Amino acid sequence: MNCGQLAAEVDAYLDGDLDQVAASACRGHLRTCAACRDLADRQTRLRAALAELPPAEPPASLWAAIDARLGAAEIADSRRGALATGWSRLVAWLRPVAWPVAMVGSAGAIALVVVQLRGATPTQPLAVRAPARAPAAVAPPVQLALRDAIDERSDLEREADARFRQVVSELLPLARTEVATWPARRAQGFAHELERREQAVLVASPGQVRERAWHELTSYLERVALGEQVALGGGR
Amino acid sequence: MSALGALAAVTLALAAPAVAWADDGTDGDGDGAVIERAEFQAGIAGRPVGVVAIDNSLGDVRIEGYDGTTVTVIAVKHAPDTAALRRLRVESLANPDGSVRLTTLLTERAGHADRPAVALASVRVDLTVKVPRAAAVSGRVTTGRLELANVDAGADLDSSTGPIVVRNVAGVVFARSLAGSQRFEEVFGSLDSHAIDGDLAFDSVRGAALTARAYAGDIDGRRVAAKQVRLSSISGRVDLEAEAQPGGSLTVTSLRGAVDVRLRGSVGVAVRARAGGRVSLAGATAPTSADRWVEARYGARRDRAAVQVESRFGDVSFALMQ
Repeated sequence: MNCGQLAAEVDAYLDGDLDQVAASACRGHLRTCAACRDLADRQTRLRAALAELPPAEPPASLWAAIDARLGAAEIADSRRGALATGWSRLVAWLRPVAWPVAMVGSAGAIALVVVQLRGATPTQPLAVRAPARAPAAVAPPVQLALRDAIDERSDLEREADARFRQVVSELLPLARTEVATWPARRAQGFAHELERREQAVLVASPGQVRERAWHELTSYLERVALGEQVALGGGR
Repeated sequence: MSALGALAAVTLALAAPAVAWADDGTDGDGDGAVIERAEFQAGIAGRPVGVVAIDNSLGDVRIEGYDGTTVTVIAVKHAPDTAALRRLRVESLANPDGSVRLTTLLTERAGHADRPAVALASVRVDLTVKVPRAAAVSGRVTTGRLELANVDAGADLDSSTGPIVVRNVAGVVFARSLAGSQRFEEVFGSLDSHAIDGDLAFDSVRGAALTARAYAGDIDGRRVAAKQVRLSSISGRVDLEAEAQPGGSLTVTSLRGAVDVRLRGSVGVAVRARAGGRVSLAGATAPTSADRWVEARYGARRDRAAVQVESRFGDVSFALMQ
């Protein structure tokens, strides 16, 4: 089994839907592949977040609106004669099944949202992938729960990013003053190294990885500003 | 454990990371808050624990090495009410390679129609984790305190604004914080510490290398006996009392703060110092070049330790203690 096959089957594996041989292959791959273990971990977190969702309850206004429209139709029918009365009978026959139909529809919409979210790629916003007709009252809690699970540190991370940016802006002039005394080739190496470390910050995922990248960048600038011998382009 | 049993344990760990919550009870603390304490074991029975990674963004982490072979977690959850308490989770994931990962999270923080939002400041999860001494440890906190003691295989520690405290640790230690202070006592191995706004303190650090950098914090070292020592701060003061090592090197620098180094030991020492302010270096030669370095040599020539102390804008002092 390779990573692609594992990714295709991880849902079924976590659901316990795979047969013994396929499940064993998944377990074997998870033993040896840290990336896939992370994937399985993320999926279990997603499941935990989804499991926390309350049961879907149609809003009270739904019934009121249906009732009002039925009432208006009955009044109109009473003024129209036999054809309208027949329509009224049809509506009356449909009324007992309207609620289950609405429930099934809501459940189907939720299922679609879940299926879409499971298959969502990081490059596509989750909200965009929800079905256009998903009930507005159901979609926000789904998104909120996921957002909370993923972004609960976002405020602190923004503050940390701001402080690191400030430190870099303070260190850069000091470092550049030092670099101005370097030979041109070495100064060019500094520019490349700085760009590489800045890029590492930009592509790092929020949290520990990005803070580590910030520390690498600021520590490097500190060393340059203090005139220490620094590694340039992988050499020293 | 049989192979089948091990596989079953792995499957359980992967499929159901929300561990069984061995509940010791829920209590009020007198001011309307509720507290729940739970203790459970993490890891796969019969498998040696190699790495323990703990990520707690909701409170303190205390990691203690002990002579056992399992990972024991004591979690104390604090919340304003039982509904909020139920949203606090401690997840444990054990992998077949012997690594164990513990994560805390607050689910549905923003709430919705039936469940009110929960402020992060109103909840807390504190973890005490007992790990085998030989396990390598990785710990991360956000605003809480991160403590580590009595482990032999080093550690990798991160904090945003909470303090990091390390005591009696062997192996390579790596620590990073944004605004949290860091304190290390009795570290027997190489140590690499970096903080932006926090102070760094070292007491009884003995290893191949000690590297410490602070941007705006002070650095304070006592009883340091590392072969290679490099301490630097941009805006803070650096104060070091160390033991000279034969053939060792010490570089102690601050851009704006004062630098004070006191060295003890019987080996010879070659010192050079430079400062924007005053230089205090007994027996130093007069500056001989435009770069204003002053130098002094003490003791035997053989296996001399090389010392460099510098402050671009502050004062520098060096003393040899007998």
